[in-house]
Amino acid sequence: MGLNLEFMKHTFMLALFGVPVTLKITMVALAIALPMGFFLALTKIYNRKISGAFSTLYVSFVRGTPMVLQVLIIYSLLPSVLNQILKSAGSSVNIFDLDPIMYAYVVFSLNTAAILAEVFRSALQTVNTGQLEAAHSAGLSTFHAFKRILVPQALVVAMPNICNATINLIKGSSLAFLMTVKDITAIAKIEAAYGYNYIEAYLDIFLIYLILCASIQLLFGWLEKKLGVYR
Amino acid sequence: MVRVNDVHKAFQKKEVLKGVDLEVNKGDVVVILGPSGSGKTTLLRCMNFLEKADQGTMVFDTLSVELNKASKKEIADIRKKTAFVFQNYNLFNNKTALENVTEGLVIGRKIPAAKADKIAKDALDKVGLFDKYDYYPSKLSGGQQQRVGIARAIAVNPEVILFDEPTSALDPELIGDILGIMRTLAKEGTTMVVVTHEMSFARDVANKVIFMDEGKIVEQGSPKQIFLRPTEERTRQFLKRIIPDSEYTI
Repeated sequence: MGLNLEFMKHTFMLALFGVPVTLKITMVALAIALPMGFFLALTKIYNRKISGAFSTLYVSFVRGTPMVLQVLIIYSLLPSVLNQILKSAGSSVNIFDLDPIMYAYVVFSLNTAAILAEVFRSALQTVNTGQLEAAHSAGLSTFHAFKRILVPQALVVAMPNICNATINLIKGSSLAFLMTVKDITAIAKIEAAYGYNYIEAYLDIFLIYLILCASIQLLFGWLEKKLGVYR
Repeated sequence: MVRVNDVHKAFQKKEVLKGVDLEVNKGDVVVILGPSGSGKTTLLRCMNFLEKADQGTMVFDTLSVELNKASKKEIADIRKKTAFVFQNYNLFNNKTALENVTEGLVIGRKIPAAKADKIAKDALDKVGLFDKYDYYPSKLSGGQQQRVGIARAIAVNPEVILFDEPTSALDPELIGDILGIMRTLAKEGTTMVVVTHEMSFARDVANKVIFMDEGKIVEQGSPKQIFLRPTEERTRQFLKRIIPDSEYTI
């Protein structure tokens, strides 16, 4: 096939600089999406009329639209909208100087929250209602019952799916390059454009993502075992 | 000590409790018998608010509440005075046997951990699980799990323990162990309200037997009265089916 191995090695090293960016997007998105998804799930489990309806619509919308479009729309709209708000508040801050990774944080948080809402809803429903009744009978408040008994058990059940969501986040964050964020994909593509070595660049990207995702799977496997020691 | 009056409860359109009065005095062992669907479990669950009754009042010592309008604090106060033993044990699956018992003490009643630990160990010893403190429920047999459930109930030193068919999910050989523990508790003066199908327990241990059918109390009295001299036809029919070879005189 005649691959330019020298180029591959060089680009691989450069693309590694994108790994922190990818990880940053992943971790910030998870940090926001995990609690957000959890509360969205609660509104549906407890049949809250208004917030439950909101959750259903929200999840439906996010899951029903292609991620690439969500990225493009947020990147096109959000800066202008924020600019309007800042201007009318009399601020002289230039929104267009904002690090585009901020928009990546927004898009991927909102997207992952919708996915995790369903993950948590199904996981919480696997926990026997008797657990909550026993907790109440023992004098625990609903908050403590959830925190100490229900959520730990739901979390173990949710682990495989949270792993899924995390891996999808790592891979999906490659779309951040559309927002000029210098992640793994962006760096490799830029390098490739110089000498048209696209195949080598794509193989490099493949390799890096593979290593990242494999590590994540190992991590979650360990987590699932540790949290599920009681099973 | 605890009294409920005129309890009504319907699920969807189906009325399950149609005006039930129950009185429990200190030291009583009350057994509630009846066919399935009679409302006996629902009545028990209404007493510690696992079900919210549609109507009725409860007087617990000096506490007086309306069952359908009880505040969170009133419910919490009443739950502090009661303990519940479930038909399918309902142990906290992610906690060890010891942690199952300390949970209600430390979190539910804010007892310091060291003291709670001692109380919990004593309770587990009492039900014969001195060597199973650190076992998770998944590693315990049904009988052992129910014993943890009972330990969990006695550890909090409640004024009354509510038992919802505590042996119905157990193998026949294990039923005797659990009934034995309950017998010991009764002898020691523990106030108990037990929903069960175990007639031997009702006959030998209870001091008050209540027969329920279709959401109402049909008849109540001492075990002698109910088992040997039932006054209601429905009671007789029920007893005949459960204990087919007994004879009754009215």
